[in-house]
Amino acid sequence: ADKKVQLIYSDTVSENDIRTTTLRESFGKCLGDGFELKDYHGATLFKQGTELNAMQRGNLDMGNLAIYDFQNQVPATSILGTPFLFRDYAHMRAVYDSDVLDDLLAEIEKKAKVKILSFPYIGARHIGYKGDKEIMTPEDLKGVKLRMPPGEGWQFVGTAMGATPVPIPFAETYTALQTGAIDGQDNGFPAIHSMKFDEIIDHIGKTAHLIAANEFTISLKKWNSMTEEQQAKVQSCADNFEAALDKVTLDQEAEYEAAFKQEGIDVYTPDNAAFRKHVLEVYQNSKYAKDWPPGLLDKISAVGE
Amino acid sequence: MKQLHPLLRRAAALPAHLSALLFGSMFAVFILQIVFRYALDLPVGWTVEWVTLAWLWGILLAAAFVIPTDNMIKLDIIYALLPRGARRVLDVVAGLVTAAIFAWTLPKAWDYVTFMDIERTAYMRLPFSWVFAIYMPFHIAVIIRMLLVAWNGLTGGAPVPETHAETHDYD
Amino acid sequence: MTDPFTLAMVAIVALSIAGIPVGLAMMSGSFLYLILSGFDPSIASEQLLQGLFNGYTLLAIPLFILAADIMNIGSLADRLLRFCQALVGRFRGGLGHVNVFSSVIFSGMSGSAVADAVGMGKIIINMMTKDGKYPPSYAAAITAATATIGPIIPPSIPMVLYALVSDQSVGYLFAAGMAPGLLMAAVMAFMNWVMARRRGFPVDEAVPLRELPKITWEALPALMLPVILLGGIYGGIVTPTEAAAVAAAYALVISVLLYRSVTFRAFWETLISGARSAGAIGVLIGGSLTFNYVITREDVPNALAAFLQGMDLSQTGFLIAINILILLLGCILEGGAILLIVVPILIPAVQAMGIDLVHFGVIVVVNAMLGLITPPYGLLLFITASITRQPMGAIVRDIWPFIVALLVALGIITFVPDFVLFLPRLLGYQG
Ligand code: NA
Ligand code: NA
Repeated sequence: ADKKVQLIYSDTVSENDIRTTTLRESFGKCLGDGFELKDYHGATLFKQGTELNAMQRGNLDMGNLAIYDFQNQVPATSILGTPFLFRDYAHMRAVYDSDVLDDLLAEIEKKAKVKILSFPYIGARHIGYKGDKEIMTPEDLKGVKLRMPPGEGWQFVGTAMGATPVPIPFAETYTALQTGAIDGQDNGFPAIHSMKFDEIIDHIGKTAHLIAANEFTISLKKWNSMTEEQQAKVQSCADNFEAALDKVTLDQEAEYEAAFKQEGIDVYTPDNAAFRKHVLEVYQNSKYAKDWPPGLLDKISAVGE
Repeated sequence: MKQLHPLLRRAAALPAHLSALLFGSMFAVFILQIVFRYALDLPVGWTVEWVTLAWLWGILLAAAFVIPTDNMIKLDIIYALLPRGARRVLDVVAGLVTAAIFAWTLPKAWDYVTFMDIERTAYMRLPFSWVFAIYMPFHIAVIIRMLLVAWNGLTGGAPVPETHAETHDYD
Repeated sequence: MTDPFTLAMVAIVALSIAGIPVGLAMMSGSFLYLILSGFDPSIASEQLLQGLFNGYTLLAIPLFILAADIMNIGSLADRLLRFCQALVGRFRGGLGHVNVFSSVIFSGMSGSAVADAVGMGKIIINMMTKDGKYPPSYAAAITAATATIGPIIPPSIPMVLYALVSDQSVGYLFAAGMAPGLLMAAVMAFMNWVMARRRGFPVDEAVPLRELPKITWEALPALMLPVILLGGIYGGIVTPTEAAAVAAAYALVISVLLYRSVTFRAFWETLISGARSAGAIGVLIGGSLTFNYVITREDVPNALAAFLQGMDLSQTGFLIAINILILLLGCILEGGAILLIVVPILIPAVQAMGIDLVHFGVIVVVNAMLGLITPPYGLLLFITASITRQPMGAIVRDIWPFIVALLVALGIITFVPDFVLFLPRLLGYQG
């Protein structure tokens, strides 16, 4: 009999995270008897951001990467991390299902020696703040101290949206909101719930400025070592995982949005067209756009329109 | 060390001053970072990168060239109770084993450090092969230190173990 | 678990016992595991480099060392002691109380017990033994015992190490240490009072109350440091790591400008010795980073958690077992080694038992500090023994009442989680 294919997998979310159970159910079990998924969570096997290198050196088979992890080796990927690139979840999914990214994916395989199997949805980021009026446009964000994750790229997202970004570690954000060191933060509904930011903020503007998907990735070395049949199995289970995680994320978002409304938080939709126009303009004129494949932004925008 | 030529002695003290300089710059840049952010409302990213760089280089430099092997943290209660002859045997065996393991892995470590040329730091855009370059002297220094432990065991030159308070500041 | 793993464990223990520095022994064992398993040995180097380079919170360690060193070379310690003496010296066993109280204040600026014992220790031991007021062994014992408060009351270097291995917020860990640190001070003050009555220790000449304002004024810049530190962290103005830099800068500024007691040369020497300390702890951290990969790859923490759950221990039984285990380890291991080697293996089991990880952090650090005063391997005992030139046996005889007092405090800290957690919760901790 053939030997089992062992897949060593490293992820940053913790052992108890719903993403971990989803992975084991929808990917691990789906693979069946021919495979053994050895999954490590909480960035215990490899540190966040080092998984790509570990795959390239043959020390790791699979990971659930962020698009920023590819930036050094494939600068063109920066376009996928641009805020307001996608209008909504459906647009994001339609783009990844279409063929507009085929050239970019081929470039990733060639340069980074890994293959992206699927793009599971991990949620949209919104602006949640305390204040006495609804923020509708980039102008309204002027002077608002918005906590953004530390790091140049993240801080620029805040600037491009019109806010004054403040880099504060995730764990210290609650205290900073409480003391008024910041006016707001940008996280998805599940993070707002788990960190209890809803105890302090009174508005959530559903900007959905980042509609984030992970890159569910396998090293080319591992991929090429498998038979075509095995490859097909891994690919179909990766799609299965994508569909399952999409559903989990969408359900969670709906659940917490309803709960926050129940609590009396003002959950509303700002003038996102105004935000989109403003932010994309800022990005196109920044250093971040210089690596974008020419014409790709328009192609992405045109999907489903 | 006492019989060293003055010039050589100065050269030997250089890593200590260099690590102090890195440590001092880390301290200064931290203060700069706080001033930039709060007094001038100007968040800067290169500061975070510099302090982590100075920390990595500072400790590996100190570990490679500054701290005597004997001042490193040890679990030497049993060792200290043993008769001198037994300690010498342990020095030779353990020193050679550790030196062998580090020597065996040296090419692999070099392979990793040079491989990291493909990644760059977020702000200063330094190749990680440079950032991690300080690891190589550290790895080599361990081999030499361990061979010296074995040599001292063989020739009977090993000092009597002692506990030094200054190397335990973190407890 | 596989044979390469067993062999690696054997190698680590054997090399450590044979006198190889623990950090290097762990690296050797990890390399050996990777070689024998047919994995890429450079994974160990990778884990060390990435772990150190991404360990931003770790930077607080050398900075807190620097802050304490500057305070020790400046005259802050003298002024603080005069202030403490004016306040509590008038009671029976007065200098003993001064010893406890000054440790509490010094703890608010320093993150290390050793810094406390070395800095304040020398001066207060001199004060206590002058004219034969207190037996030198008692002075050594109470100085060693009270120094354990240093890393319990924030700031704290061991808490930073614990934060690294447990992924908890340094800010909340610091807050959680506050009440336990004060409790430890209280039980030791009580024990000093008991001893003073039993052994007839002298009452010190009371400092006239009218001199108090002047003495307080002189000590004020030093007394402000804990306020600045904690205010900065919990006011959301600085991260704990930045707070360490602020503490060092503040100590430097008042020592140079106000007290005019620090020369550039002395400062430079401090930087060099700080770099040495950082290098020594860096080797240990590096070793634990490489070893962590091995135990993760072998699923050791999860296996241990499953095993302990299978034993069906109650939470109380588990906590007692953990306390005994760490206390015993503390008799032979360094605090830093316990935190970096043993704790990562225990964490999943602790989580599975439903124990709060911030609470557990305080339990572990208090245990590790007790390890510093328990023979045979008690670093604080060595330090105060070398200051007083007393035989270990005499100090051990005088320190056991304090160990008993601290064990009572440890019991409360372990079994009344709310006592530990109320302050972090007040500051927003969700545990
Ligand atoms: Na004391
Ligand atoms: Na402290």
